[in-house]
Amino acid sequence: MNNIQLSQSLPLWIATIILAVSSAIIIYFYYKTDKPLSKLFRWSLIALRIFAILLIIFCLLEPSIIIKEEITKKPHLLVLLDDSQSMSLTDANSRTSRIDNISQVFNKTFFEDLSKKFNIHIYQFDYEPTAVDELSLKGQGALTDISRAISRSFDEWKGQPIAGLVLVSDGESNTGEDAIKTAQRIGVPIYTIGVGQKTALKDIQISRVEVNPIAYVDHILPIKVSINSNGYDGREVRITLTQSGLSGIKDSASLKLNSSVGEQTVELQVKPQQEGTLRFSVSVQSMPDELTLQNNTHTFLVKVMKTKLKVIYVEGRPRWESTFINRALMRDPNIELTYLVATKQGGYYPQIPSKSFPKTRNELNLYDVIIIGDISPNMLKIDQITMIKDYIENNNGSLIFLGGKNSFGKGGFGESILKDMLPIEIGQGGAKQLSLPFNPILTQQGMTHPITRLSDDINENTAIWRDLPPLSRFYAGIGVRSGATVLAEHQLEKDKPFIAFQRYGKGLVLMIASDDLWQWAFGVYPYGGDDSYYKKFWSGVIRWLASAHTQAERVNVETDKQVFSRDENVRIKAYVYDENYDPVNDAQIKAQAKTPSGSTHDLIFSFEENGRYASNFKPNIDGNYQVDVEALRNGRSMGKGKSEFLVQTTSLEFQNVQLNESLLRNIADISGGTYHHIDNISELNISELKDISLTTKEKSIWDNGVILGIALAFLTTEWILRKRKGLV
Amino acid sequence: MDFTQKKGISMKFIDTPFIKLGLRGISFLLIILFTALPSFAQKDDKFTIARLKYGGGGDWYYGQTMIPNLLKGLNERTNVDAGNKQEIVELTDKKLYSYPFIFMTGHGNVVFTDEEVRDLRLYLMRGGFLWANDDYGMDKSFRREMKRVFPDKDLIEVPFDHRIYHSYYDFPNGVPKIHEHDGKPPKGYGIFHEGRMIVFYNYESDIADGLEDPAVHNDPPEKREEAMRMAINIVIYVLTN
Repeated sequence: MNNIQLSQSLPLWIATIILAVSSAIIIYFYYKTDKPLSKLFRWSLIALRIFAILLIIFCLLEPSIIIKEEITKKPHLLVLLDDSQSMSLTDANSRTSRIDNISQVFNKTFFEDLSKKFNIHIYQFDYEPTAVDELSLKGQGALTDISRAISRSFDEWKGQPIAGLVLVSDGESNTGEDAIKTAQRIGVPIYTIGVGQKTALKDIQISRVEVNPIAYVDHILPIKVSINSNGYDGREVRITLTQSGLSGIKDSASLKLNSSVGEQTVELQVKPQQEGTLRFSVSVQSMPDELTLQNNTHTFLVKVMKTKLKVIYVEGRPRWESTFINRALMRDPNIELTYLVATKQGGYYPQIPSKSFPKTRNELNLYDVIIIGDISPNMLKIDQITMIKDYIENNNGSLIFLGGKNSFGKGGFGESILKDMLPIEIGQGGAKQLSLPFNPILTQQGMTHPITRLSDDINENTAIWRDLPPLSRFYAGIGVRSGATVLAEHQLEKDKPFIAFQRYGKGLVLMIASDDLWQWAFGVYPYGGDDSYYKKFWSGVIRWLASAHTQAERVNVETDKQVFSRDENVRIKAYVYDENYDPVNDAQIKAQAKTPSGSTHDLIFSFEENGRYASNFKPNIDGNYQVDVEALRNGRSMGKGKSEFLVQTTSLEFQNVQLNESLLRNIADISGGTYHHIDNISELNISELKDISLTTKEKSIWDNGVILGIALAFLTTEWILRKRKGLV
Repeated sequence: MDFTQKKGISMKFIDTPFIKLGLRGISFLLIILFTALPSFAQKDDKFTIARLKYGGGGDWYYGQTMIPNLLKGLNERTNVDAGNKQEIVELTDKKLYSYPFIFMTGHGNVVFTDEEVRDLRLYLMRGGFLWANDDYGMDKSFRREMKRVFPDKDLIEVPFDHRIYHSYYDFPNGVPKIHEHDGKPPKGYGIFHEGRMIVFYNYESDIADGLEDPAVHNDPPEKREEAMRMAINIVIYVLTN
């Protein structure tokens, strides 16, 4: 049973050659010596030297002995039974539900037979596995994670002899890691048993609903509904939209079902009439003999705001920089843009419908953000400049200055009455445009600031900024104004601000020292990228500036998505900023989750990094949840924030309901097990499960002092004998 | 002692603003020289138009004074900061994305390779714009190739109230007739993507003809003026939309 194993680093054939060559050399030199030696003495010296080398080579081969021990104890057999919602379905070719089918097959007799050879451990699983003494399947789990079921149950018995795992499921794993990889990793055979029908079942389901999560009062919100059906071709169904808390149908559409085209879509729309987080449901009419009605309705949340963010962008000349900013903001469904480009004659290029600069302070105050492009201050009228100044100083306004030859150059804003507003100082004669490619790099504040945060992960964010295409030009002769916050600076010149902002009066003023950011919208494609970061950047700029003057926004609360399944982990993140919008790392977070039943749960947030705190919450009932967060520093409130999410149980379990046989086959194949359908359970030969386990122990037979001592003894004896005969 | 004194003198020398600035400048230049980033972008922010070099045997190079004259017109009549020379690009060039506005003209056959068909489609959908001027004889092959580029889109006649006819000058009757060939009415066609015009094609109009130096075609001054105005409208429309 025992084997000798040699090291992989020195192949045996090389070791043999080394021994042969060195032996030949030793014999040659001992025969060549001039000293008269007897044959016995000569060969004794040769033997001592060769034995010493042999021992050294033996050690280099690192031989070890593999001792296999038979385990006489019964090995463990883990039986994993799927208890998720999809298992509660009754297939067309069956009279009983999937879980009842399991309960009938995996009965007491079955387990008694198995327990003669194995120590049986039964686990029921959905999102997580739970050890049970006897079966009590209910089919209520809202998610299925086969990978987690395998790894968690295996980990409990790791290190002990495990004969294998028996996995009984419909194979519809809808969350977690790749189950096939997990099966391969654990290295134990998995015998998979499929439950359910593998052919498409008679059913109509809402497979997808596409809707903008943010909408505006009195603005039409389009809703795209995708329907999958099978077995009802030619039948016409009605799809309806309802709003929670309100009676009546908001919109409806008819659809003639046709499974041969795959997914079919209909468009519905609604015009929200009130602010807040509203809950809508889309339902498709049910048909007789449908497999389940649970996938005929889809519920979603929409955050309805009073109006879109209003932005006015005044540009001094037609240029690519303004073209691409205009396109990005125009296509943002949450922004209403007024875009004015000045002509040489002093007016604006014609627009349809015609637009103009606000004539009164009240009109200007309706805007959330003003963007000033490459325009010379003398192209603005004095009353327009006065209105802009008042808008910032007294009305919590937000202003963006963009780089350009006219705005930053000689006679630009650095010399105008708005110069103190700028977060930068422009030297005498204006800033100079230099044509040298460079990449802006983020400062410490920039790494986490909402404007420059293109990814939540700091390292990823830094990498994104590093990998964006280089910009062609920058402005020399500008410095940071005292008190301003720099978010990004020139790659080589640390004191050259690229993006900076400062508070001015009650408002905020941001500066972007570039005239070719459009490279990130268009020039990015030859670099293998796309315009997504450009859009995200501008979206972040506008949103932050539009909301930054309210204290509530200093505490931003977010969840990774808006709709979760019951028992799914909800990760809640809170970002906390101080009055200068620097991240706060020493805040105390007071937070509560309000459940649909009205009860509240205290949430414990832990600090992660750069103003980010996180908490985990596991909802156990369906409905709307509200999270309220307050950040405190030294007992004083720094601001409040809130977020909402929805929990519904029917989201994933009924998306795909037929047996996923290929997953179960792959798990069995890769792990060395076998696959059988539950109807053919008799094919699972219990004796094919290995009931004897072997454990192996590896004992090194070279790594000891005795071998070294013998080798040294051979060499020393040879040396002494050589000296006594006067050999060199 | 001598050594310290020398060192003191030398430090003072370095401390003078002029030398300090010079040393800083040299080191900055050295950094730039050794770390300069590769960039496909234009070096300055002057507006320019790239002429499309296409295959198929057509005279893609025809009318070398058209684009420089249009750039000059933009500088003189508008506040577009235009360069003074045209660029030449092929659809497979990486530098194509330095020029969001490309122009093509000719009298003959236009053929795009499969790779060019894909590249032109992507370029236009990602934000690029193509102005195609039929100089007489390009229509059939141009339409055929554009159908390969956009099998799902048609060249549709641009209505007279579209902004391209009113972006700077007014053209209430659409695209003007500059050079007579067949006696057919001039037409302006467009291809649209997500509400944005991505291709403008003038047929039986030959705007580019009227942009050339006066001696080339002897077009009357009023026709040349109309051509310049319509070309400026196209540029302004693209830059402000």
